[in-house]
Amino acid sequence: MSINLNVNEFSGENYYIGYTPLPCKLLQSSSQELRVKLKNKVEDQGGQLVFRKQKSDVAVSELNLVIPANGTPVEFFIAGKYRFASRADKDTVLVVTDAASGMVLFEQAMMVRVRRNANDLSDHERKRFLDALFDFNKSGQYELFCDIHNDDGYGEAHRRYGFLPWHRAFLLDLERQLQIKYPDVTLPYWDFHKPAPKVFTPDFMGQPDSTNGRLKFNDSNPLFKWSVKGIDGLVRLNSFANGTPTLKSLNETLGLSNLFSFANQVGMESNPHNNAHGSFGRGPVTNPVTAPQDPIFYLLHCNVDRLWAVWQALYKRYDINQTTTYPYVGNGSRTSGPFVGDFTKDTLWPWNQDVLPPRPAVRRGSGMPQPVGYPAGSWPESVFQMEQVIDYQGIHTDKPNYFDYEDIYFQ
Amino acid sequence: MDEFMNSLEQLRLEVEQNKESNVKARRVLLDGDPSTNVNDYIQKLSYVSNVDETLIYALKGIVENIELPSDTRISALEKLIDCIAENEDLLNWLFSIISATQETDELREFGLELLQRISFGSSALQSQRPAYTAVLKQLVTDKNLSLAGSALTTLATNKDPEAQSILIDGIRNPGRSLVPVSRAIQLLGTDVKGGHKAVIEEALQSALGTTEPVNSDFRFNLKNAMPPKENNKVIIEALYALAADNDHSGLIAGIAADKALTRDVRTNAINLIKAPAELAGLAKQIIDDPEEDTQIQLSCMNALLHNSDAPFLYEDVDLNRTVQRIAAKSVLFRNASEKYFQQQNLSLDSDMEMGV
Repeated sequence: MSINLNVNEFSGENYYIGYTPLPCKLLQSSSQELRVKLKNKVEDQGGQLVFRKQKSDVAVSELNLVIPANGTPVEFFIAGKYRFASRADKDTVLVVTDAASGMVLFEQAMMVRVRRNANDLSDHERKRFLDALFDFNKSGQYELFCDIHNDDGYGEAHRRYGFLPWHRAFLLDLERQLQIKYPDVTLPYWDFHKPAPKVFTPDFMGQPDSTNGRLKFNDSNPLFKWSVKGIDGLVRLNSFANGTPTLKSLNETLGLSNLFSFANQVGMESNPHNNAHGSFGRGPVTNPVTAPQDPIFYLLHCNVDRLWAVWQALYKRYDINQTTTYPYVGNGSRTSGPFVGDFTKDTLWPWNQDVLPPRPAVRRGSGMPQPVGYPAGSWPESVFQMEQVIDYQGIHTDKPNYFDYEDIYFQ
Repeated sequence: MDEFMNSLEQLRLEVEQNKESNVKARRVLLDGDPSTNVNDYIQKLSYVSNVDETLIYALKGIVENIELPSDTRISALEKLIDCIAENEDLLNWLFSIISATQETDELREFGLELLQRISFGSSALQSQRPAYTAVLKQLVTDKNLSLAGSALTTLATNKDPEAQSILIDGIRNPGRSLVPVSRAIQLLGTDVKGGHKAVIEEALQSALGTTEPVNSDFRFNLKNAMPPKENNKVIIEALYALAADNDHSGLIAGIAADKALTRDVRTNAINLIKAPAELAGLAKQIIDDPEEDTQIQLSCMNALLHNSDAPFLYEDVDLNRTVQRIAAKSVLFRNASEKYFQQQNLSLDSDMEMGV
């Protein structure tokens, strides 16, 4: 008798699971139905899975199922368990046991892959992320991301309502590019409301020299050889190992009724975002046109995106047809703010490759990379409307972006 | 799931409490009750939006009140940061505070720090750029040397030619430099098209304590020229500044190889070598040298592992042999060597059998 698993229409070796429940099918070849139990091989160690018979059910850590005879599938849902993300690839093992005898009938290694707090990463996770970044820079593609964000795309992404969705897509693009070679890597976030003693160190994001801000790295840290746009090394005057930058508090940020507005500085872009950049005192990250040259940019922005995601979870702001979720629903046809690119039905540059005014006159990169080789759907699409990145967990649309933050569960 | 819902509920409660606390603080500050501890209420206040004119007026009054303690005035100024970033009148008001020599050093220095923080994305700062530059240039001659150094740094970051001239003067005459020489070199070095190589080479020569002029043709043999430790930062910044120029790769390799220099200087030099031929030559020399500092040998191994032009290195049979030999030195070296061969899709042992 053989048992086969299918997760989100995928069968293979690599399973990267987030918090959004994924539809699964279990099949077996014998001529009699089989009563089985699904569970984690090792409890409370490594990544952990939870199970549901229906998507709306309460998640359980063990699920009894009956697999019909002769290859007729039984359906269920799996997801990562809240706060039990993996620390390494395939450290999560789904087992199917015989319900009566407990005998193991089937095993499949997986990874509960979510974006984690940079300060909590293990040595292994840190190393994988740094290697992925370095390799990506070595390939020459990192500079393309700098160009997209800076010279050409600055106006597409900043001082406007689309600031948060544009950057969400930008982060996802980079993350998916890194995952092509390092599928177990996710972008970590720098929680700038808490000291981060394990982030601003020589073995991770660097420790500034007190006199001139030159970042010190350990020999084994590939960032020691960081070079972008002909500039070698990195500079930041301030470190936040023992303190935090002075900016809008977590409660104040989450209390904003409109995170998106830049007008009157009531949105998130000016504070905490701008202030977090400026708080480093010196170096590329403090200048809008050079900021992504320093990889701390991605950790900072990942936290800005996470704060938006926390706000979404707090007030259930996922319905893309509601102006409480995002203020400009529909198509952008205006020439004064909000502009084209600020509306939920607008496609976003550079992924749309649009070079007609008011878009930048150059094409950069290509569409949004599509996840391949593991169970994930094609969402957002290669060319996508902004609304495709708003409900990132697919709560209303049932079309998740296949990324999660470790502290924001699927509701 | 319950745990997550509970954490959301707790967060929701805290957000609401924060809002209430802000409303109360706002009311107290607007009432101007002299019996209250003003600073406590400022701390509880949210950042002020520039539509809240009444509160802006009240906070400006606190900042300008020289009778109040410095920390209270600074707290009030801090709460205005979002308005200052978008409001030209408020920005000019801040300029006047920073420029006022009769004001306290603490308030002026905080004001300048605030400008740095809003420099990312401030529309007011963008439109008031000439006035901002004028304020910074005035501050460069201020008797408060901390303010002068900070202003000079900001100007030089923006490639201001006058500021660059002051930096160059400071490098040549460290006694009157407003910023540490290493920072001056770094600031000049980031202007890759600025044509400052000559002065940086001069600074490097001076820091190395050599009488020979340092330029792209220079090859070091400094075994008897141990530079003072405090010069290390100057040497390192000069190396970063010169590394952008391929002509200096030999010079940087020479510094990396020189045992008279500190480990810090040498590891930075090793990591700045981009040309694979230079790196391969240096790595063979250092790794094969039994008298060499183990840490420096490890630095070379790590530099090999992270070189951008790996295929060039892999073709160097002598280098492969060197990397194989060092594997026997310790577990650390063995791990690094194994990884080097893994990158070539070879294993350390099987490769040996192949006689590479």
